[in-house]
Amino acid sequence: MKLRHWILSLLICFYLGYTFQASFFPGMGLNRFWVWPWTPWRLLAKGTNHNHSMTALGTTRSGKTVVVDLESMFEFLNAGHRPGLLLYLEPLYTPYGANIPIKDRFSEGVVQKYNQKVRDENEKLTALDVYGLSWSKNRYDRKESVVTRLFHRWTS
Amino acid sequence: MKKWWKGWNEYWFALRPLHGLALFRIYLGLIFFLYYWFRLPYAAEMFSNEAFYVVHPFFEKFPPLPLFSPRMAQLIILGCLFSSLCFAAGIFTRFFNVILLCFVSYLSALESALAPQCHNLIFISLFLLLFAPAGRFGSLDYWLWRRRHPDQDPKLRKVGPIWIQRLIVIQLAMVYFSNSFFKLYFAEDWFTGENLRRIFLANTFGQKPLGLWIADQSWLLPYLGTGFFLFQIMLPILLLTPQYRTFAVAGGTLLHLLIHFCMRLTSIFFFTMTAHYVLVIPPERWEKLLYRLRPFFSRVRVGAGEELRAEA
Repeated sequence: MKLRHWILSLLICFYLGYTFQASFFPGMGLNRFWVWPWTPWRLLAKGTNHNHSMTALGTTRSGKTVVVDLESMFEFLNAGHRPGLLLYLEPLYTPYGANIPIKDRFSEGVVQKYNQKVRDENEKLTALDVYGLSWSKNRYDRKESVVTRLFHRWTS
Repeated sequence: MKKWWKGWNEYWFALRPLHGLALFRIYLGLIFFLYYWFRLPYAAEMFSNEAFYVVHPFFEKFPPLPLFSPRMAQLIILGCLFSSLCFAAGIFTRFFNVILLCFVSYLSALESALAPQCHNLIFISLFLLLFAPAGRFGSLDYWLWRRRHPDQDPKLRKVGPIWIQRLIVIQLAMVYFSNSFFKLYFAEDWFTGENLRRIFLANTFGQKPLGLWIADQSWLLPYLGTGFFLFQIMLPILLLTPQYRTFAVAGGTLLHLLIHFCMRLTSIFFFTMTAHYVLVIPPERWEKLLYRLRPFFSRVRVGAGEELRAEA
């Protein structure tokens, strides 16, 4: 084998190992992809120290647009509380199939437009909506690997 | 051991036709072009300093990205469109690969919290293509080379090392592996079809007519849920096993068609995954297919020439 192939083989092995460990984390294994290579070792040594929170745009019953912390919101809903607030993610999706962030300065108009929809949705706040939230939450939650989750699930 | 090394060397570094890689490059370039073409009218809302951003947790660690005026954001997207077209056409391929990677990394970082996950996959593939002879064949670069060197054998330009194609296919398999592994957490809900029903009814990304119809068919859901789940678990192995590749590509395309018509996900998800299937199919098969189509194209050209000559 040529020297070039030896070097490439080493790089390929590193890539395969790296993408394999990344695939154990949510987000199609790709969220983790760009995390620096030493992060897994740091996580092993110290446990997780990601202290981030995922926020999303929500609309209150009174029509106010708020930025909601998904994590605490989810804990709140999980505890059985049903606040007068439904995190309504749909406005972020448009008929064009593009996820359009809503302009802060347009929030008044956006609120008027979606107010009725949010009011209707609030009438039928069910476990289904909570599931939708849980999916969104899982998508961004990179604290635990799936292995840890499965371990907790199967041993509890 | 010697046999093993030989097999390893053959698997990664053998010279194989570049037809599949050229098709993949064209497909990828066109995906980027269409994706940002549809975002061009929303440049101000999405990528300028007047936009509302949800910062992805990953980018929280870094200083905020520079943001520009709406006009400048439009120009950036136009630059991205131009470079994706040049990349698809294969003119100065590697140069435009780098430029496209710069544009796309900036733009996708801005919409990273909201963009679909498959965005990351094409981003990784674009990065890997930097190391592949993507413009060597099936490109304007190839056409220019043929004009400059009419005496040289073009066969040498039609083959290249296959390791990047292998890596991209493994990366694709890893995506399915990760996804199905994550689904294990809700395995029983997949077997009962409950998860599928929830997804098709969810107000965030469900509620498409076909999805709503399927969600109503309680007899069908357990079969569909189980089939969906088991097929996705098997897909990484099927993709990497030469005997089952065709089945994996056909089944995977069907799976993504079903997702596309049942869920309100962005179309880029379907196109990204099917683009990667181009590399799953062995390059020799693409070569054979294009070779078979060649007489058709040449006949068209000859026919047109004869008509022209007759007119003259």
